[in-house]
Amino acid sequence: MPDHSTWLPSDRVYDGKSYLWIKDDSENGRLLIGIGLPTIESLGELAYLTISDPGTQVKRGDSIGSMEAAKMTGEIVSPVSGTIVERNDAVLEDPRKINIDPYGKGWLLAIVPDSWNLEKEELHDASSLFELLPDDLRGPQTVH
Amino acid sequence: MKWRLLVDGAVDHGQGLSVDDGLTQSATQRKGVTLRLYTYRPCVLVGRFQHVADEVNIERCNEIQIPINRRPTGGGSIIMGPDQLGIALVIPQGIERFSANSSKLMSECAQGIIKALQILGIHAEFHGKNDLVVGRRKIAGLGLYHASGGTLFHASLLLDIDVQYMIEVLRTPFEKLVDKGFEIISERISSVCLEIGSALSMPDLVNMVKAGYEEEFSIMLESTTMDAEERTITEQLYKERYSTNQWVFGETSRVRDSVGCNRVHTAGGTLDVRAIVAGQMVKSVFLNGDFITSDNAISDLEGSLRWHARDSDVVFNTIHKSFERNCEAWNQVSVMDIANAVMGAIDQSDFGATEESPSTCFAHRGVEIV
Repeated sequence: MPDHSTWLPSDRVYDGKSYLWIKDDSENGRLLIGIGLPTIESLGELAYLTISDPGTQVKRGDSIGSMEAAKMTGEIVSPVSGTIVERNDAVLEDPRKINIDPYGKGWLLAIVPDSWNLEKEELHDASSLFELLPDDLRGPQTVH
Repeated sequence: MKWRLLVDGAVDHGQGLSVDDGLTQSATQRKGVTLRLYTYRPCVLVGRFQHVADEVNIERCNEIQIPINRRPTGGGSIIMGPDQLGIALVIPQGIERFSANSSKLMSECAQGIIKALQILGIHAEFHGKNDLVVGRRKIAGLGLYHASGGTLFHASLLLDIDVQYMIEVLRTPFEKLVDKGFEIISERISSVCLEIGSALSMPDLVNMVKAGYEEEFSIMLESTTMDAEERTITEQLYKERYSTNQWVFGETSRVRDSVGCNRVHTAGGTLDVRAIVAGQMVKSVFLNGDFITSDNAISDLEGSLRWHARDSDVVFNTIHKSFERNCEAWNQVSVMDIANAVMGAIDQSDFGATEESPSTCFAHRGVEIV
């Protein structure tokens, strides 16, 4: 098994389609959500970002924002259902913070989940996501 | 292998965009890949996160009744009309022959256009962030949009272009330089008609692009129409998004584009640099002046700095690499001259982004040269 702890930290779970990460911040009764390195590898540098307002109720699969990076634009789709309680203003002002520190200061938003116990069954740990990833998203490529 | 083909002509701006988005949102592996080739009635389309007032001469568009809309794809503002071919390639999730990596996917999708141009005797290549160029001149702009059903590859291929009209309706970097602006833009833009040196009809170009995709991807294109589900989603998108002022003129992102200019006198002549910066990203850099170098050296430098981190050490490294690739072309202009000129323009952009003083200097706010 290759070491993918830097590419996909094992302290969180991942959505199998968007590769967004979800970290349990249970001390505060919420989940932190962000963009993982496989997505960043695909997108390139981010320049523009929107995130839905705190207070917005979302279902798994709803759009919670949008972004433009070097190679594409796209919707950010919520991996869980719940209520957005905080968004990271720092990345709205400077989306490149996501490229620089995707698993730390580059987090996107916090959600208080509606049905975490149920929905987390549909998410992946780092090892199982790594197995799902296409070859060209399993590590840094030379294309950019 | 068969792909679906939709061909439209003279579509309304909102309808045209709704169809592309609707096809993408309802894409499924069962339907397979869809290629749509179409033209718009004259309109201006801005990129997904652009601010219309920064990019478009709204007053002039109103005067001559040119509508404005917003694409789901990124990049700069473009004019569309009877001489610009819209190309939409809709790829459902999980189609194995296409890369999951967007960096590779953009180039893969463009190969059908490159092949079509090759059939016409035009050698085009993928360049920079999202351009197809012939020599140093842009002939098509490209974009990718990921939606729930799949991915949309968008392109606008120039059969012909009226640069004067483009300067009128778009806020180009050169609007304050009345005569020189036309010349500078014309130097960076090409068209199919210009390259082949004769007229070509749009239906002929459509057939060439169709043939290009069939040959490049070893597929057959089968003419079709939208199914009931696609029509429903398209109508909904038109009603809720592409016919609304909120979508076209509403707030998009906290990051605003800003423009900086800098002029540096060197032993080899004057370097005139315009940098368009979005927060911590350099979107594009334009280099002009009376120095002597090759078109390729300028194109390589400008292409290398498109969508580039603005950190000065990273910018310098990129400039240095471009300079080394073309060092014989730079006549009495040093790498430090170029770096000083470019980084000065980037730094100056911090003082250039106000709504009250749009397009100051040479201000390009992300307008694509297409």
